[in-house]
Amino acid sequence: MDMRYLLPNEIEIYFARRLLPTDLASGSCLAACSIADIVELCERLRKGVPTAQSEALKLAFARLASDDLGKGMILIANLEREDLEDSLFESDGSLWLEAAQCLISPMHSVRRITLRPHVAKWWTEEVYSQMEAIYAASQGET
Amino acid sequence: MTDILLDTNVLGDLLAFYYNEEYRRTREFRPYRTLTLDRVRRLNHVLHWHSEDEWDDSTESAAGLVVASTFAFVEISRQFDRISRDRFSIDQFRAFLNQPPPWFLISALDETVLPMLLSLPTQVSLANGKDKPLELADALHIATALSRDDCLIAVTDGTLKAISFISNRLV
Repeated sequence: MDMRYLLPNEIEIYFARRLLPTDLASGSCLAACSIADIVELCERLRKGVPTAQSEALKLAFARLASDDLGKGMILIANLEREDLEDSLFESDGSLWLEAAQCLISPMHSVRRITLRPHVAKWWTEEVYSQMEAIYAASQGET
Repeated sequence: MTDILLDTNVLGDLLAFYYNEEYRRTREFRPYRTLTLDRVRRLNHVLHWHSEDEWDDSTESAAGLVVASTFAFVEISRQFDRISRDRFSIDQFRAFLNQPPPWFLISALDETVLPMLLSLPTQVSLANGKDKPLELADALHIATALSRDDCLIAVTDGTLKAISFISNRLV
């Protein structure tokens, strides 16, 4: 089954209104995003940046750990210790400079580490490439 | 069982001391930069309890864990030279991540942190009447601590004491 990156606006719509994108609703693919995407949305909510669905989003994210919302259809790649072992370093032991650098935001470092393709992860490089394409223009700003 | 959560700067100093010759010799922390006397006393209580079978001694009050978020390790990696300052190497940093000591927990950045993150204020009101923004990095460290049952917080930024509902947790 195909897997793709879940766009930030799709995350917002799904968690506020429980509306899945058509391809996910039809079961033709699954989607992944990073915990960094969710944290950034929460940060916007914490700072009071208004969205049409702020209150619904706050409620959804506050309950995310115990709710079944999204489970089994949308994979949120958390930042576990094992992700740092697998994805923060190059095979020669040096730091992976795509993430370990200050020219991008801390949350984009997290996004890269959590979505970096690795033999221990079951999604393909496609998810990472889609994510990078979306954030290419805004690196350093997010 | 009280845990103690470290922010990025305190974690950096802990790693530096952990890989210092003095620690190798004494297996104890000493006051050093952000490792204040009070923090050192609490850290040593935790590591003694875990490393000297005191878990089997009912007269000793049970210690929790020293905790840092995976996010703190990402922050160190982003500024590795500035934070490590040749006090620990990339290999040592990686070794600590791969096999942290039994008294240390590397806490995931995951959904459990979100409710606490959303509950934190955007500004801290200081005693001088000015407001200071609560940055995301500090908010994530605090939210990680608050998402644990009983957890003290060792943060570098003393102005966070102005947040009333965490002031009694700060060390």
